[in-house]
Amino acid sequence: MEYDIEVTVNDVRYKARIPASFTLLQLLRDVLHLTGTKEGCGIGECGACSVVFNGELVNACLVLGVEANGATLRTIEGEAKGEQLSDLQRSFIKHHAAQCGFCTPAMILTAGDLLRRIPTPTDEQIIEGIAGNLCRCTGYEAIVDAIREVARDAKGGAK
Amino acid sequence: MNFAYEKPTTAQALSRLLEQGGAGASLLAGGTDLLVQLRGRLIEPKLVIDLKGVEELSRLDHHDDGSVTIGATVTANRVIDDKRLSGAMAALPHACSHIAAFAIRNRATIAGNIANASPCADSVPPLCVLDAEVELRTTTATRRLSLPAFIRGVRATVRAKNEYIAAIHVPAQPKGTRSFFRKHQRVRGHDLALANAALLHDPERKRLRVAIGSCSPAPVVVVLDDLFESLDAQEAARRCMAAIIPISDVRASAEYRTDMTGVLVRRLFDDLKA
Repeated sequence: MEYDIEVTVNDVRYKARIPASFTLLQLLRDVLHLTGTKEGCGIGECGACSVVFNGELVNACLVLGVEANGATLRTIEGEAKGEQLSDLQRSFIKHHAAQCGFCTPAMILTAGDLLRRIPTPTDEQIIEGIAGNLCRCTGYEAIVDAIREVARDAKGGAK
Repeated sequence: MNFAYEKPTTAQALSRLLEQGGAGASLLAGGTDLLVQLRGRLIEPKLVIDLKGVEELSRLDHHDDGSVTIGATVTANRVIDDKRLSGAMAALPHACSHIAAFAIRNRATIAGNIANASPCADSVPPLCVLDAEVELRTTTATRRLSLPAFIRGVRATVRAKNEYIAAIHVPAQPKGTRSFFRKHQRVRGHDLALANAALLHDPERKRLRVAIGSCSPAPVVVVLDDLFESLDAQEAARRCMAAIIPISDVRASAEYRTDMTGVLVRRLFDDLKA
C-alpha cells in the first residue's frame, strides 16, 4: 500500500507518495534525491545512514518512511550554509578525516549530535559517541582529532 | 514486499487492528529489529501496526510506592537518561547503555528488546533479577508474566498473535537493595554479548540472585539466598556456570562462554563489595 507523507528536510517541506515498505533511507535517496545519506549495510550495523530525526540521531535504514510523516529531518545536505562549510566540515578537511568519504556525511552528523549533547567531550566520550559509525579507511584517529578540535575551539570562544 | 501501515492513537483501536490482522500483523515500536527482519524477508506481514501513536504506551512512570512502569514505546535512551532509575534499579539503565550504539538506542525500546527474545538481550538479565513483569493485552483481557515465563526460547515468547506488550512493570525494591550489570563482548561499543549478567542484593529480605543472558535459549535466574551472608563469589560463579547451557557459535565457544560467565559473576560480586 502507498501513503501520502509530508516531511521537512533541511528546512524544505516535501510531499511524497511512498509504499509502506520504503525505509526513511529510500525516501531520502530514491524519492527526494538527497543522496548525501549513504546506505552501507542496511541493517543498523554501520551507521552510514545516520540522520537527525526530530532532533534525535537515528539510522535511516531502521525507520520506515511512513514513520517520518510530519517529521523534521536534518541531513548532510543541510550542514553547510550555502558555500560556508560548518566548523566540523572544515575540521574534517584539515585533519584528513575523510578518505573514501562514504562514512563522512553520517560521521559529521553524529559528531554534531554528540557536541550538542556534550559540548566538551573527553576522548573517551568522542570514541563512544561515534561507536555506531564504521570507517574502514582512517583508523578513526583523524576523525577523533577533527571532532576534538571543534569542541576545543568552541570552548575557547569563537575564532 | 507490500504491506499496509496503521498508526492507531488509542489502545482500543490498536487491539482491534491486531485482532483483525491476526497472524499477518507485525507490531512496530522502535523498529530496530523489525526493519532488519523485513529487509531479510524473515517476516512478510500484511499489516504493520505502529505503537507510537498511542500516548499511554510512551509513559515511563514512577509510582508513589516505588514501582516503575515502562511503556511499550519507551526507548533505551529514555531509560538511561532517567536519573531516578538508580540504586536498586541501577542495573537496568546500565544494561541499556550497552545496547547497540547511541543512534539505535534513540529508537530501540525495552519492550522490543524483550519481545524479540534474543538470548543476548541486554535489558533482560536486570529485569529478571528485579522481578519485572510483562503486561500483555488483547481487546478484552490483560495478563502479567515474569520474564522467565514470557520468554520461551530463542526468539520465542508466549505472546499470542492478538496480544501486544503494553508495558513492563518493575516492582518496588526494599530499601538498601542494589543491582549491578556486566557484559562481556568482543569489542567495546556496538557489539552483542558473549555473556551478560545482572546481580541483585536485597539486605532487607536477604535475597541474592544472579540472572545470566546469552548462555541459554532463555534467561537463567540463579537464586543464591543461602550465600547472602558469606557472599562467596567462587561458589556463586560455580553454580551459575553449572546452570547455563551455552552454545558455540561465530562469537564464542560454549567453553569460553562458561568461563566468562564465571568471570562476570565474580566481578558482579566485586561490584557489590566495592
